Amino acid sequence: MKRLSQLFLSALAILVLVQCEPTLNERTPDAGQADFSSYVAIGNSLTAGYADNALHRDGQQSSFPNILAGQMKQAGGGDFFQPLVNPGVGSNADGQARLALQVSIGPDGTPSLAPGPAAETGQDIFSRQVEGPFNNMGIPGARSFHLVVEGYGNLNPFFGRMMSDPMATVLGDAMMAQPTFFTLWIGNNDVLGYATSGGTGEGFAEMGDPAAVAGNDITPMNVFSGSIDAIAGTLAASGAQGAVINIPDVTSIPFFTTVPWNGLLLTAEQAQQLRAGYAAQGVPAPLIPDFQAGQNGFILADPESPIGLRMAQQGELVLLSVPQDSLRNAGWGSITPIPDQYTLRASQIGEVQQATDAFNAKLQEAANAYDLVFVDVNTVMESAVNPGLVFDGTLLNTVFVQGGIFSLDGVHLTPRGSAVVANVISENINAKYGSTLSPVNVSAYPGVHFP
Amino acid sequence: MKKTLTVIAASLLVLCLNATTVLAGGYQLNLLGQRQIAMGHTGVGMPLDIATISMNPGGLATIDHNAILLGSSATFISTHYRAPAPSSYVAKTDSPMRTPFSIYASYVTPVENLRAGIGIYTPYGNALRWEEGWKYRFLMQEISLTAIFVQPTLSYRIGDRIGIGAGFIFAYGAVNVQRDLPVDAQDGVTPMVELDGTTTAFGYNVGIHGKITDQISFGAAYRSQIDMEMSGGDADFTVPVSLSGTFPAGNRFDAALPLPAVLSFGLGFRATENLRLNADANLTFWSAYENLSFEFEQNPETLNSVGLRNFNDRWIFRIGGEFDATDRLQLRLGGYYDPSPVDEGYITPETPDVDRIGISGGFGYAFTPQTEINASVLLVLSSPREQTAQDAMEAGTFGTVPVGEFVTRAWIPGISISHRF
Repeated sequence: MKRLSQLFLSALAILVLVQCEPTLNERTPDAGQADFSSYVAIGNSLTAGYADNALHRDGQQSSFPNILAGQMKQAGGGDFFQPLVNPGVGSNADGQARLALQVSIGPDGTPSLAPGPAAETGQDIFSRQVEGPFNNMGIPGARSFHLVVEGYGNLNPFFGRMMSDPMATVLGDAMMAQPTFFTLWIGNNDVLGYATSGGTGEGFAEMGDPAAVAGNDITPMNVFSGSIDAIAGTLAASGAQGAVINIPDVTSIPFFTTVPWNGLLLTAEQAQQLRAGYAAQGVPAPLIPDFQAGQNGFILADPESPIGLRMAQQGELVLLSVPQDSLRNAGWGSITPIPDQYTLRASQIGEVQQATDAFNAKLQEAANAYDLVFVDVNTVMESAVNPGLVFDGTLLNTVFVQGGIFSLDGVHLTPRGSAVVANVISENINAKYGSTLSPVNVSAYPGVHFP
Repeated sequence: MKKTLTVIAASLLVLCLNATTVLAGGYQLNLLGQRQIAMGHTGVGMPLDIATISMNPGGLATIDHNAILLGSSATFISTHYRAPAPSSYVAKTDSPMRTPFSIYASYVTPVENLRAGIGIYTPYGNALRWEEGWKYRFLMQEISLTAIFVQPTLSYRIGDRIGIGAGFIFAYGAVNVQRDLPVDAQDGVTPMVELDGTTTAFGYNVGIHGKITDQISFGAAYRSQIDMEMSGGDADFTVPVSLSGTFPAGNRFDAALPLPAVLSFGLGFRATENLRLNADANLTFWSAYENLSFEFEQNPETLNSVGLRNFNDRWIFRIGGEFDATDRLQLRLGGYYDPSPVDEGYITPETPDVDRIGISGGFGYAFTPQTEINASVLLVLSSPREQTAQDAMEAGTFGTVPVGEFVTRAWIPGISISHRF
């Protein structure tokens, strides 16, 4: 009996005293065969952290390379030094402040939410304040061949503010940071220059001269290929490991997909009036746009049409840059055609997609040739369009403002979008180098901020 | 003796290293009486005190005195989460301590063989608060669920050996859920929603107790399902002004949460004058919990949600013993196995459910023949459990449930005082 009470008592004592924390040990990321001691990000505005139509400090701090560098640091990576601008509203190349969502009251008193500049003018970000070498060599506006052009800083103030020398190249300055690992995300502007200007420049060409490429042209294939080989080749020859990231298709970018092609909503009476109006101008009956009650394609300028205009067809794109007031109040898209610079017609979309496919094929080939990681962001963005991407219990997609991935300029990423991209890149790096970089929590990064 | 101690200590440590716990399956709280908790929460087959009013109303007929019994436990529960490899992310709960309680009173009526009693107890509840800004803050940040049952009861003895009893249950329920909204505000305030509602409902509890021999007794009890239907609860959105159309102020919601029925069986064995042993089994009808839906009064198209839960009915198995160390002191030990009613794919941040083993002990001390205190301590242990993206996809819950590993531990001391007259 005494032994039984001792048993009860001692068991009881243990139950009272026992205090154990649940154990789920934190994992320690490992670099595997990769060397993250000096990571350098090379690219354009997407690499720079440009967002909301400006380079500003918030965007830089949540640039995908800075997020990725944080993951690398956990696995023994080095510091990541960015050419940060002072805190503030930032600036684009034309001196305008970043966009912010603003409530405006329409003429009929209904409030609406639209992006507008956060300040009357941008801040001065171009006066030189920083000295390299920098780990983030993302230059807003840069095309592939710009990265190897001597003195590019004299043409692009975003490089001018951080170049090591007036004759420096972006690639040369990147090499000064002695990269052991790099990301190369370039080529977007080689296509987007044409696409965002409504296809008003030269379309896709196999051969061309870099000196003759205008801001709204597609970069000729030979120029693009030569530049990619020069950049990736130089980096690989120095012994650096790295990742090459491809170009998302325009159909996954809100700048091109937000304004519907068939946003012209008419009553039967309005449709009749419009048809009568075109007839009154002497437009021959077969060429009068077929306005009907309900949704109609917008009227676009089309030089190939005998009357210089026609109704948009499914698949054609009206750009986010189109003045909304003109659509609503000035008869754009109905009485007056939407000018060419605000639309991408089927033939122009064809040029863009041909170039995107060719450039992406080249980027993949370069990744293979130089034994680099290839990151297919294009496919990720296609899934973001439909069905969307699930992270941390929420759904992200490419819808303008609400989608969470794209910032208010409709082209560049939000911090949340950058976190998604950083996670996709590190997942691919892990697969190739046997590293265990830890993805960040996407839910910890903001999307678009609402007033 | 020393060897026994070492073995017990070692086995407890091993369990501890494997980590964890929660109280009971889903959001059930089996903390109905301190004497019973100390014996693995057994007692359906052996009514040791008037806590039998909730555990088996049929047992009340065997109690030949008026009594009151007041008791409460304190829950110290910690849950950890770890994101899937290769993530280095871990999160913890910072759950508030809760005090589930039970109050009982019994009365030997003037009618022969008829006993009356009342029980006020908390058979369901949940309190979980995840660390601020955790990975799944859009799914849930904090939940508090309270259910208080008030059960007036009559019990009647048939002959010398059989007792039957029935109670009517008036239930009060309160729920508060808080989660962050997946939008961001220019003013830096984190957009979130707080849902807060209370409700009342009715149910019943019936039981039978019988003595097979002087040593062996049995019991069976059934407590009905009670549906907590919140109607017009407050939905308080903290959002930027420009989103007040989507998330209107002063919104209200309806939601329903079942508190499942429980069928219990128990066997009691008076091994010697000084040693009593119990074995119980409880079947909780969790399959009643199919989904958790919220319907809003304003902007239902955007805000309404349906979350699949698809819990399964589950048996809990329990054993326990009580030993009279002296005339005044009783010592108790027990344990139970409580498999999770939740399949992988349906694990949510509000019930990160795992299979559990409970180990309990306690003592009773009689200051006088009329007045005694009972104390218990319950340690609930389990192994880490993983829910993969694949599990969620197969269950059709992908994007609405967390993916990763969960582990929990609970340490629950409790005390009660009783007086008979």
